[in-house]
Amino acid sequence: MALVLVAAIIVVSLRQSLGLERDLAIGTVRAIVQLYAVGLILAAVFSMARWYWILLILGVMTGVATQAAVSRLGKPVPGATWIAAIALTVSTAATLAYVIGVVVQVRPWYEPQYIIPIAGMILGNSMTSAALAGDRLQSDLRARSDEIEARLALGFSGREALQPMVRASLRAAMIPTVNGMMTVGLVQLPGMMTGQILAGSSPLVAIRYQMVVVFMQGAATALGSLLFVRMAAGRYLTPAHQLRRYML
Amino acid sequence: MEEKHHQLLGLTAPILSARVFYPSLLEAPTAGVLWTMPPRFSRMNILHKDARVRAERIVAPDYGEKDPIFEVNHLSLDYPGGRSHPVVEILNDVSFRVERGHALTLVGPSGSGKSSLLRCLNRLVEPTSGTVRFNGYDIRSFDPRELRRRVALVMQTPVMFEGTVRDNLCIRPAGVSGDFSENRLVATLDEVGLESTLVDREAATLSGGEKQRVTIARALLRDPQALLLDEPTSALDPPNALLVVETISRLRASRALSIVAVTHQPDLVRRLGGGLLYLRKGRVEAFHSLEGSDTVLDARLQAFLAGENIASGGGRT
Repeated sequence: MALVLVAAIIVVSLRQSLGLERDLAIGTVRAIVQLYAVGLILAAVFSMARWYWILLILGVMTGVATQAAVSRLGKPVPGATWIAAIALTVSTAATLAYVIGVVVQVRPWYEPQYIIPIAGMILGNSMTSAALAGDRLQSDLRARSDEIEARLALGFSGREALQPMVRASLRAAMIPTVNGMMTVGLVQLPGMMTGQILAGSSPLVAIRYQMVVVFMQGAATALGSLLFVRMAAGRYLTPAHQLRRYML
Repeated sequence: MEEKHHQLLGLTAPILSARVFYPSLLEAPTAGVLWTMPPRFSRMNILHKDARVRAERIVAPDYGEKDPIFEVNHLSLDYPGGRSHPVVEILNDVSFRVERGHALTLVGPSGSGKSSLLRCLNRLVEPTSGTVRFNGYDIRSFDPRELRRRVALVMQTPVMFEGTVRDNLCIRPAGVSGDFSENRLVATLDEVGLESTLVDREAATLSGGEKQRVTIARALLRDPQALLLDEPTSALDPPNALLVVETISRLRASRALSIVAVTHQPDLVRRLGGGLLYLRKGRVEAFHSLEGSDTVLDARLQAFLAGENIASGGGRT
C-alpha cells in the first residue's frame, strides 16, 4: 500500500522533469530488498542468540560503516580505513558498553533485541560524524595551508599548527547533533520514538528510551569524530613538524 | 663521522658556487664552534657530550665564523607518487652556499622549485636526498621548531591570525620565551616602517603592504639569523611593494641578516646584492654574483635584471 507514495513521487519527478525516476525506482527496490534481507537476518539472529554471532554481526556492521565513512573523503588518506575502523570500533564499543551495561542493564549483554538496534544507532552516528569531520578537515587543511605553514614557520609544533582546523572540523561534525538535541520532540518525533508509539508503547515509556538514545548519539558523535579527526590529522604531519603538502 | 663528512664538503660543493662564495677552498669549515649549541639539540649532545651550554647562548651571533650560514649539497626533492600519479621531481641535485650576512636570490619560471627549495632551508619540506647545513651543522640535528625561529620565513601572501597586530606579533607556542615587551614591539614596528599606533588595530583591517610588514616584524621579534623571503612583494601593488623592498634592504644592512629570497622583482634583487641563482625544472642552470663583476652574466639573468619577467604568472612553485 505504501508503494502508492512512491508512485506519487515518480509522478512529481516526471512532471517537473527532475530526472530522478530511475534512481527512485532503483531506490525503492533496494529499500524493499535490503529491509527484507535485514529482517530475515535479524529474525534468524534473534532466534539463535549466541555472543559470537552477535560479535560477527557487529563486526560486519562496523566494516560497512568504515567503508562508508572513508568513501566520503575527497582525497584518499593513506591508512584512512584503519583509522576509521579504530575510531568507529572504539567509539561504538565504549558507548555501547556503557548503554548496555549501565544504563539499560540488558542481561545477558548480547541479547540481540537490544544490542543490534542500539549498536546500529551508535554506529550510524559515529560514522556520519566521522565522515563529516574528515571531509571538513580535508577541505580546511587545503584552504588554510598557508596558515598552517605560517604557524610551523613560527616554531609551532605540527599538532599545534593543525589545532584550529581540528577544532573547526569537530565543531562541524557535532553541530547537527547538538542542534538535534535542541529541537528533539518539538519539530518532529524521533524515528525510534515514533515506532515505539505506533507499536503501542506509552509515550512516557517511549521518551525515556528516546533520552537514552539522544545522549548516546551525542556521545557517539563526539567520540567518533574526535578519534577519527585526531588520528587523520596526524597523517598529514611528519615527525619533523612538517605538513605533507602533497597529500592536500 | 660528523667531522669527516664536514671536511668533504669543500670538495663536493660545485666549483661554480664555491668560487664565488668561498674564495679559498682551503678555508673549508672545520668542526665549528660547538659550544654555541644549546643542550636541547640532543644529537649534538651525543656527539659532544662535554659541550654543554645554556640555551640563550645560541642567540649570540658568534658561531664558527667561517661556516656559511647555509650550505646546500646535492639536494633533491621528489613528491611521492601513488596509484594514480607518478613521482614528481621537484628539485634535482641543487648545491649552493650563502655566506653569513649575504644574500642569495632564486629566480626562474613558475614550477621550477624555488619555493620548495626555500622551504628546505627551514625544513618545512624534507629533501629526498642531499643535505642542508645551517651554520655548519646539518639542519636535521636541530629541533625543527628551534631551527624555524632562527630561520624565519616571509611568505607571498601575508598570514594574519585572528586578533590585533599585537596578538599577531606576540603569537608563539606555549613555553617559548622572548622579549615581547611594549617597547620592543614599538621599536620593531618602527624598524619595518609602521606606526606604533597600529599595535591595537585589528590585523584583518590592515592593507596588504602593512600586513606584509607586520609579518616581517613578527619574524624579527624572534631574532632570526636568516630570513627566507618567498615572493614577498608579488601580492602587493607597486607602491606597497616598493615599501617592502625598502624595508627588507634596510634590515639587511642594519641587522646583518642573511637572506635567501625568491622574487620576480629586479628591484629587490639589485638592492639585496649577493648571488643570483637561476633554477629551471628543479636544476641550477646559472649562477651569477652581483658583487664580483668578472663573471659572465647569463643572458636570462641579464634579461631578468633589466626588468624583464622571467616568469610571468604568479603561480607558486
